[in-house]
Amino acid sequence: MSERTKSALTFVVSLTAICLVWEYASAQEYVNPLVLPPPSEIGVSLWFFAQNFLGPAEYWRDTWITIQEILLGYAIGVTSAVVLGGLVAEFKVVRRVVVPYTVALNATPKIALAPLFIVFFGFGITAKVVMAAFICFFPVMVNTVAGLVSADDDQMKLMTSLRASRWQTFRRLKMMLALPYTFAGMRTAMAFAVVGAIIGEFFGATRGLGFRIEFAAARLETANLFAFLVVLSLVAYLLYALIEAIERRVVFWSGGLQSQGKP
Amino acid sequence: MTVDESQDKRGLPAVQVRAATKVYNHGAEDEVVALQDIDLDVPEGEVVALLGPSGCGKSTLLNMVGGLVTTTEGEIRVAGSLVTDPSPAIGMMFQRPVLLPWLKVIDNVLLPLKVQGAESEHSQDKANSLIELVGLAGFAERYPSELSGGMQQRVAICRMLIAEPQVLLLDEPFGALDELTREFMDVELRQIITSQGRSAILVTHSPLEAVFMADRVDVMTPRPGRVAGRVEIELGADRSSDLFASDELIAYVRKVRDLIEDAHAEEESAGE
Ligand SMILES: Nc1ncnc2c1ncn2[C@@H]1O[C@H](COP(=O)(O)OP(=O)(O)OP(=O)(O)O)[C@@H](O)[C@H]1O
Ligand SMILES: [Mg+2]
Repeated sequence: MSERTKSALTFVVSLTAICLVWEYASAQEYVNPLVLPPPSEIGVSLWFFAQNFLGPAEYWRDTWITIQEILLGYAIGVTSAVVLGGLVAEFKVVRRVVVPYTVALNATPKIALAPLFIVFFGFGITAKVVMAAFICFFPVMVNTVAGLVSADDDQMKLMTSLRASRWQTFRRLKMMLALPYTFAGMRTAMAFAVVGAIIGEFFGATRGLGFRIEFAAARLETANLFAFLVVLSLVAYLLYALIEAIERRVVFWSGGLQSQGKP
Repeated sequence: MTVDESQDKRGLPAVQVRAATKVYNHGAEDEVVALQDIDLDVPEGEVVALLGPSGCGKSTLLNMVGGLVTTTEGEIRVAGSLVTDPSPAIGMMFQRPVLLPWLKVIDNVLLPLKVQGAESEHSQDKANSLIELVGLAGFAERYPSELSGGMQQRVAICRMLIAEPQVLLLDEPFGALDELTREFMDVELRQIITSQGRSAILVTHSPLEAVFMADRVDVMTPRPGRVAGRVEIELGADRSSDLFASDELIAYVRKVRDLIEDAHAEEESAGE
């Protein structure tokens, strides 16, 4: 049996065990099912979600809206972080202007700005996209800069001895050195983008998975809440796996770096 | 260029260092006189080895010749022209291979041409024949991480040679390799230098390597760095691995070692 099958099998067994104990605890009313519904009820809710995905409640719209918020925010956040990171690493003037602000903003818990964005951009998708972009920005920017300045003396000496122009050195050395760092940041940013979009929805939305979660909580439909959580986790996992797969293809020479930056 | 001029240049040494001085952080409190009044000629087609303790300014001198470090005083000429910037007449090799891990072997070799925008239709063939020359046939499409340290240094040799530089600057090129591999690489590199008619400066910590590779060994002393003595090595231009065990070579190595010891003793007594 391969390592993979063993891990998968262990997971299935442990999950089944947890569900059985949980189900039993619920049946015996050790816990209030309103607070913690049994797995069977969550299963029913998931089935309900599946039926309503294309059906009457049109849950696909909620899922799709949240995915749009995440991806748009992610694209905007990552792009601006890479561009600004490049400018910061290459130009001292830009660095002097920008770095104090990034340090200050990075230290701020970015989620705390969600109400402000709602005030700025209203209850539509924009506020959520901005929130996701904002929270995505920092890990990518910080990592990109760290990567761009990571050339060692020997590598710089090589480029100088080859009479490389500044642009050649940037393109052929620094940019390539930065790629693994940027991707490490992009992995973290993907998880952050989900948080950003959901937080944005919590503070005011009429559609989206975050809205559904809040709605279910407000009406104490805990089983539904769990079902939406499961769907959201699945979405987040798939998006993360997508970035990881792209990373493995693009920066094939690097083993995958750890990222810096906080939400 | 007139016939006269070209004949003029033919007589010139490949590298001329005249009264060169290097002071790092000049004028500041922490200034370091790395080199003082160095004179050094590398005759066309010859290899000069620099030997000396750590910190005596060997790398500094090499970087000055390569145009990577400015000269505080004095002047340096390569093939007759004053060195101010890195010159296409020069190829460099460092202690580490410094290959770019995202490029295949062949693209690493072609890097100097790519950077200069000087790739032509023959470049690929040229790179491939260099790769063959250093015994890496069949590895052109591999990535550096798939190669051993010695193989990576061979790729660095190819990269140094691809733009056909006249002068090679070698800063402990095989210092990170084990002794057997190093001797093997020495033999190969010396053969390439001789057959292609290049000139070279080799920095090394090994008297054995210095004697085997060079037509002249310059022994340096530190604080400030200067040349304390020279040994001409007359072992002929063609050198094979048999030479490593020969009495002649051993005798030269002893001579070089004596010179190092004398220089060291002198420095000790001067320090008291
Ligand atoms: N960039 C620099 N700034 C200040 N001092 C320097 C710099 N580079 C070298 N030095 C100093 O110059 C002196 C000579 O250094 P160099 O690297 O040329 O020695 P080396 O002979 O190559 O030594 P090694 O055998 O260890 O490579 C040393 O005292 C060193 O501390
Ligand atoms: Mg050195």
